[in-house]
Amino acid sequence: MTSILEEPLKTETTEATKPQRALACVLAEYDSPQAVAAAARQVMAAGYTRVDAHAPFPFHELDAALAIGKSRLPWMTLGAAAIGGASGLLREWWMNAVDYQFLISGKPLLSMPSNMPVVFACAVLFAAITTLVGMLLLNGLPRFSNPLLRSERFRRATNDRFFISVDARDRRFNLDAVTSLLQSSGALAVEECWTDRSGAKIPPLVWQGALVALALLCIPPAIIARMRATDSRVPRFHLIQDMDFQPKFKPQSTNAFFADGRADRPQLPGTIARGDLQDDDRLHRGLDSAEPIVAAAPPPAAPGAPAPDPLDAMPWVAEFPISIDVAVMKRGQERFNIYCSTCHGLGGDGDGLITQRALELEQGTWVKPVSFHTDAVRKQPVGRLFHSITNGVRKMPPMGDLIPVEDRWAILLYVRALQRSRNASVQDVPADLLPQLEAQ
Amino acid sequence: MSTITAPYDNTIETPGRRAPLVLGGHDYTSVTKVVCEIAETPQPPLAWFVAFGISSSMTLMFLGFAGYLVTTGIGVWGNNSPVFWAWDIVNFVFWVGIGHAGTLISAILFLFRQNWRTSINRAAEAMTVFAVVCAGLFPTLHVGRIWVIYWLLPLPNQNAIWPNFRSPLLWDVFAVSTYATVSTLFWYMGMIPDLATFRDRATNKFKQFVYGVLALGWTGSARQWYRFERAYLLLAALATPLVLSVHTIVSFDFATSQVPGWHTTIFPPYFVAGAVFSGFGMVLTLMVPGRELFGLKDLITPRHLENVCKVLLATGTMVGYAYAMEFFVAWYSGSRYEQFAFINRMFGPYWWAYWTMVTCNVISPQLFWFRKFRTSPWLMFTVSIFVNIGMWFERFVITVTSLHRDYLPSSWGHYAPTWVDICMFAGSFGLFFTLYLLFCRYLPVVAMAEVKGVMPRTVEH
Repeated sequence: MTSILEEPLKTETTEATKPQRALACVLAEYDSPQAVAAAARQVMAAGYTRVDAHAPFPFHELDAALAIGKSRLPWMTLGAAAIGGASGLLREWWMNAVDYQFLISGKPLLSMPSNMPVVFACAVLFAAITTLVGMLLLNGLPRFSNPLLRSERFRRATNDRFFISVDARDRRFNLDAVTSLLQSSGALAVEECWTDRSGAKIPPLVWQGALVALALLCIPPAIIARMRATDSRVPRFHLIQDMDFQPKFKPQSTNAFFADGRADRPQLPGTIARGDLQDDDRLHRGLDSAEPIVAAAPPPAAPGAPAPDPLDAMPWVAEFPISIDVAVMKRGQERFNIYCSTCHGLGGDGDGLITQRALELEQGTWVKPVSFHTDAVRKQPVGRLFHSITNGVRKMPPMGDLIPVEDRWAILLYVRALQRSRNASVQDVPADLLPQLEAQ
Repeated sequence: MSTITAPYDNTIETPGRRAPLVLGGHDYTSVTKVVCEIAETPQPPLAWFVAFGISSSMTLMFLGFAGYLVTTGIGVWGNNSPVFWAWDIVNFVFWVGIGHAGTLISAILFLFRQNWRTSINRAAEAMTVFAVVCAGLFPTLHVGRIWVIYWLLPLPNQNAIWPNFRSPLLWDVFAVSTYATVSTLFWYMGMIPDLATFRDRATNKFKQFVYGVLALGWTGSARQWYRFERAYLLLAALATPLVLSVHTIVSFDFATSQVPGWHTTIFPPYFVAGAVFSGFGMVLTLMVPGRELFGLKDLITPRHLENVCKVLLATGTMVGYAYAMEFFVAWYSGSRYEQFAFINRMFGPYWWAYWTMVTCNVISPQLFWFRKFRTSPWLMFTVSIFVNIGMWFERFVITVTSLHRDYLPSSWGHYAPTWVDICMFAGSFGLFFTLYLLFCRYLPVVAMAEVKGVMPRTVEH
């Protein structure tokens, strides 16, 4: 390394009268710690201030002899520890209590004990890095070009010899005086160290290589930036296939393995999902016997004159298959008002808000719901009405998937109550409720 | 320089006189020579080549299996319900524990002004750094999808979520990575003056350049030394609580869970004592052959080895106490699950692991009560091997036997390692020794500057 730096120096100095070299310091060599400490005291006593000693290991006589002051380093370490710990805590608070809240068993989002380990680690990490970097910077390191390191003699400063250097920039510096002082202090040898001012050049190979490496390093971020900024219709390229991308057949895709070529398999005949076993004909279908309804066919939208309706011949139940009380009636009212009244109207007259609006628009596609109070509807057995609710009739969609079976019966109970209310006399009202009715 | 003539037993305490820490009549020059020539010799000893050949082959094997695991999935290991943490976590805790001795020697013994540490601290710190490297690999591979391992760090990611800072597993990430960083800094900083020695003795330009860059232009100036020593003291003061905290937090991985056998408050001190114990065991395993191989017998003297043996005796006894106390706690807790976990350790399907652990960790260090064992290198080497084995089994007992039978007997299972488990564990030793042998060949194995500082300073002539 040194020879690379020295080569231009030699050529330059032969041409011009050494403008490239300047005296850096005078160096004296000693053979023991005691000798160098004594010499250091002597040089300091002579009034020089830019004096340093060099030793292969530290010993504390030198600190006193050279009057080395206290270092700022401990304060830097303390400051870094405080910043590290505080920033760690702040980060934990922001990440876990603000930006993405982790609520675990109702515990507080920021609690000191469980956040402390990371705070401690961050404090130590900041402090340790600052201590090393601070020590190096305060020591003026890294410094790769140092006149001292050009001295062949000085190589033993890291081995077994001790040195004193007096800087040429010292106010009292005088080459002859310093040299004689050092010689009289018991030095084994005294020599001059010169600064190389020729301007050290980095070998071209190094900076060219660095330039190429830098250019190459810019390529991946440039590609990423470009990809982020442009749209693409191609699916993302996954270098590593995650579990999302395991081999599988999606719905509606083909699979040559099966005879029918379909990847999704139809249910086996007789498959019933959990909770879907509708084995009570009276409850689930409103029928008195097990004879199945021709359910697949939607109710015929009989236009004009009613042809003989196959549904008329079915054995419909006339009694409710559920137990009836006030709670069921209230439930039925509530469900009716939610699901039915929008079309059928609150009173079942076929004048719900949707019906009114549809008729107002006059698009001709709307079939007005039949009033519950017509004879045709009033005379239908409850089983038949239940069938209409479950499977739909005319424009009315099937409500069986939407409303649970007990609620459908409750709605039907309320419909029966509405029908009764239009065809009742005062005698039908229980005696204890009469005053309430009259008050209205 | 006071000369100490060769056969001198510095393990004998002479009242009123400090036992010398460097034997063989060395002065500053010869200390430098002894240490530097290990790296400067063009031909290291044959044993080095043999060891390096074996360890680097094992490293390649490790890397091969790691590649197999990453491309296939961690199902190639024996981990399965209910033993989801098995050899990988055992190896992690084993290596992290070994990694405790270096910083303990550098930091805690430094604060206690134990000057004997100077001959062994560099090598022990290197051991620490390499052990932490081996330790870090196992949880890294255990995550399975290592290409998204950055999710562990508080970095913005595509899921728009942050890590949970209240999880012990995340504490572990911070504790171990901080420990790795601080140990490396500490190691490197202590090496700067010695790297400068290497630079100044270098005979070819390449070495001069590399060591020159690493030494950062160190000149050994009194002002540099002053700040260096301040920094060293500060780092020691920072590393001391850190070294105690790391294994504490590793123990939290277990102790904050609800698994019987894990959920105990004794874990942090118990783990730290075990870590120091295993670390010093490994120090002994490395030092005894190392001082023979590299001719460092005058610097790493019988006294150093004896001190290490004493630490092993003390920490081994602490570990034995912790084993006993665990049983007491299980009995005293009145929790039947806890009690069962400990009975199961002793007499369950893994009884052999438990009794191997007890034999190696509790009984074998007690041999150090005998002076013969503390002063004959090959006897203590044998004991140190037992310590290493025992400490691995301790982690196996804690991890696997606790998991394989917890609350629900219907969920009980049995764990057996696969050949991938076995080869990767062996391969981690290969990696460790490869790094360590490279360190011995190319870096200062003894802190020369520190050793010179504790040598007697009387002038001969």
